[in-house]
Amino acid sequence: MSTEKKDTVILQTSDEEQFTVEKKVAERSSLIKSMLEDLPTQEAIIPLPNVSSSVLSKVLEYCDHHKNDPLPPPDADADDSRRKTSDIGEWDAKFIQVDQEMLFEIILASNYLDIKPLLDVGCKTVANMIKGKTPEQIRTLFNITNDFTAEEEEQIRKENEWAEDR
Amino acid sequence: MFLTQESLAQLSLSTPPRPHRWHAYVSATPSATSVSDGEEGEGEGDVGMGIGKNSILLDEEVQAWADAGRVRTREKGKGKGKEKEKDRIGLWEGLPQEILIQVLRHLGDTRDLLSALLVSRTWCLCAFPILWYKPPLTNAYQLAYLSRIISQPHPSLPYANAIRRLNLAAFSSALSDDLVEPLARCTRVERLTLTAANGVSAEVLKKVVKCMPELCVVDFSGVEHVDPVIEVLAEGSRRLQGFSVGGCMSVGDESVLKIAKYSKILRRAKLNDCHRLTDTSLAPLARSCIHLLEIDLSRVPQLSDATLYSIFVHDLHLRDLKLQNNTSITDDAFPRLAELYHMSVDELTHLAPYRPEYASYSLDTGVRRLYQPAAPLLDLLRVVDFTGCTGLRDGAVETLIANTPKLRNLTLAKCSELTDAAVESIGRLGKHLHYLHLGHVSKITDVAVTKLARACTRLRYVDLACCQNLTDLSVFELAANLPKLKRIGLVKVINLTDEGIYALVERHSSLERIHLSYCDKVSVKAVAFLLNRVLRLTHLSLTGIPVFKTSEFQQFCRPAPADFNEHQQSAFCVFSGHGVHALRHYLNAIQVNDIARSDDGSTRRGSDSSTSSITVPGGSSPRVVSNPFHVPGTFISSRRSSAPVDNPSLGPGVPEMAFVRQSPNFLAPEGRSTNLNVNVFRPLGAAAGRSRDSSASSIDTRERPGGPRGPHSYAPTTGPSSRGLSTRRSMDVGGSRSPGRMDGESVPMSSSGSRLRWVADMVGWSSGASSGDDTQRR
Repeated sequence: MSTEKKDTVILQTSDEEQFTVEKKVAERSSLIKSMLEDLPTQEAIIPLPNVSSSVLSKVLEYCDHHKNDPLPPPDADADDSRRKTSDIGEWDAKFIQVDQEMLFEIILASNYLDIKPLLDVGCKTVANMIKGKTPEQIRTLFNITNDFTAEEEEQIRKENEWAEDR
Repeated sequence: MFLTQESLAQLSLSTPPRPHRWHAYVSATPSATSVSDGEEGEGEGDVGMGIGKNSILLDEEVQAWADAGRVRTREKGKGKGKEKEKDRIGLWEGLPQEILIQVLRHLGDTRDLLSALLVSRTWCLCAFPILWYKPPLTNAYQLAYLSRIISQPHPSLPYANAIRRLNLAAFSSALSDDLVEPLARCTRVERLTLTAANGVSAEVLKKVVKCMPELCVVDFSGVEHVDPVIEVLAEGSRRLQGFSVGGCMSVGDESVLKIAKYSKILRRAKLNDCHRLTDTSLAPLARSCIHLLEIDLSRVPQLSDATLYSIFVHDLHLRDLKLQNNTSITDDAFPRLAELYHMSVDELTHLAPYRPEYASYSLDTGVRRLYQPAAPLLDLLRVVDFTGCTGLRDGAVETLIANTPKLRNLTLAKCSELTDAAVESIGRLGKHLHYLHLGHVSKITDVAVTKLARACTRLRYVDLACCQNLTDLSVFELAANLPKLKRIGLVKVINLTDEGIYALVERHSSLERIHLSYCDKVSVKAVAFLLNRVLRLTHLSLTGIPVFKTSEFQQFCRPAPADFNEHQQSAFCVFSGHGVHALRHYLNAIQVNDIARSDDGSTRRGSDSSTSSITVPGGSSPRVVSNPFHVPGTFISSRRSSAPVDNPSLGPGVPEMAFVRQSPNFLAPEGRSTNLNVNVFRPLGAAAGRSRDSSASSIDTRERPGGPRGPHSYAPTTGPSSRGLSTRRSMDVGGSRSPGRMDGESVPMSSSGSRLRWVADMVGWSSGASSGDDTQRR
């Protein structure tokens, strides 16, 4: 599709695979966007040593779908979106229906690539998984070991119990 | 901000994991944690939340505690020996903390946060600052519990410093010194809300405020003895951006002068009902806090022109200005900023003697600083409320509008001296104006409202309550020019008739709130029409309209406020939310019954012929919004057509497709001329029974089309400005004006006769629906 070279960029993943991507799509990543601004040479291959090809293709799928979205304002902090959990868009919800490992990788990649909306979708998805679960259930779900000592756990539980009263 | 990425990066970059447990570490060196020592002086014990003098130390400790846990875990994993198992453990436990925090922030429910808190040390570390950031306190017991936790010598985590926002307003009446004093440990609080905490002494409030140097926003509204606290606040909290002492009678000039002196970055000040305050402190406040965005000085009786003048000259960032019921304010309070801006010092000096009220505090400042605005306009001012400033005259409004070209909300209710000239000035705001309240500005006339409606076409909210000179014409103009209108207040616009209602709702299906109380010329039928037209309606007030004071309607009315007196209670008639729907269904059900009873089916025949008669004059007008709730047979002709009810043609411009059967519409404007009268007297004559009603109907039939209130009723109100409207109308009305229209071409006489009978039934209203009621009432 690339009528001219400058409309695409080449991304190279950790497993040395190269992706030729429309610039508009790649620039959903603030990291890549700023790299492109710093390196005006169009030919350059952008190395992404922290992202594997399988994850990058998934991430690019997201970027492609959202390439025409308005960019979020730079200072839109998590503060306002803090309490809104369930508002994942329809397409995004479907997109993020992946196994835990891929979800984890997508979150890490979107954090690294600085794609805020995708990171948000990932975090909301994990938050939705946590909702309504007991600590033990959460540990089981994410395979997290309880590293509290028994006394510690008990004390922290007590110290935070006030919040339960609703 | 809270838990910024930088600070977290700092967290994870801290010293390599130490193999000891944080707990052991703390108990071995208790002095390292300020919290446990109770030294609440400075910002020690920071949990990686930005600046803080000795913050890094504790960060490391807490982090080390968490890391130690992870090391233990990994060792355990090794012990199990399974490669795959180990990988999976590594997966989510390897989630960077800043991301985990983002995840946890999406947990809306406190219980979920509590669960997350107890998953593991790392999770605990990420979750507790979120939970404690703004403790979700709903009662005094919770606060007592929380106070006990932060007061204990060795809390597991530095909870007190995690608290940034404290809102105790929900149980302020239960607050006492004992409950509030421990909060002095929360040295990082940025927002404190202690509304109406009158059970807490000034001493304790002072102590608490003194220990919170990072306070940004403080709300002491309604705390009576807060005056000395304000001084401490001003001196101690240099980051103060917002403070509210609304209704705090004790607040005096001394403490507000301190605020003016120290709180240079103040953005929001709420000082309403502070009776002791005078220009002595308020004018300097306005002059010194030039970043003010919002200020509320409502009901500060001693305030005069000088303060307002200072606000206009100095507070160029102002967005929101409230000054309700300050009767002493006059037109002199409004400087002509553009003129002042271009004046030389000499000219300004010359000006000074004419404003003697400034003499007292002009000694230390140059004349220029005192009088010359930094800009010729208050470009950012959006909201102004001068309700009840009865000293204002047209000149004030003119200057105000000249200074604030982008005003969005303007409230001048009860500014009783204002006249049409003021409304004309307001018109200069054009499309910027969204909200206008002119209730009780009773001198204004249709001429001004017409100009206003044509100039400010983006108005969404208009209130003209008690403007008794206004007539239907004002409503026509508002209806014709304001496509975004959502809420209209016409309480006690006593000249308003059904014509106005029809005009209003013809185009405004987007209306949500309509106030028609005491418009006693409004008929039931017009309201029924309205209800079927304005489907987004959530609020309709009809208080004091006699025809609605019957139990059949009252059943859908919402209960009157408890503080109303008996008279008010009995007059109260407001439908909101579900009540609106119920009323609509009720009216429609009656209508359907009536159709069933009185219509022999010719209606449908009539509607069939409508396709041919759609070429009603004006039918092609694009201005008519199609109404999907028309029913074949019950014609709601649009206002402009004023067509008789029995004209089977569709309303002009309404595509036939739009006529949906299942939601029968109410009768249309047609019969309104005579209805009006009948309705007015209905409470008396209602019980006259069916026979009388039907006889009335026959009179109706004959009189209506040429009746005195036919299309002609527009005429008296048609001012010079409404020429376009009247031309259009007369064109639309066309043939319908002739008395013979009802037997018109497309309608068989029989059908019109039968329909008219039920029209009349509607007029005599309760006859069919609730004759029981009537008898009772008798």
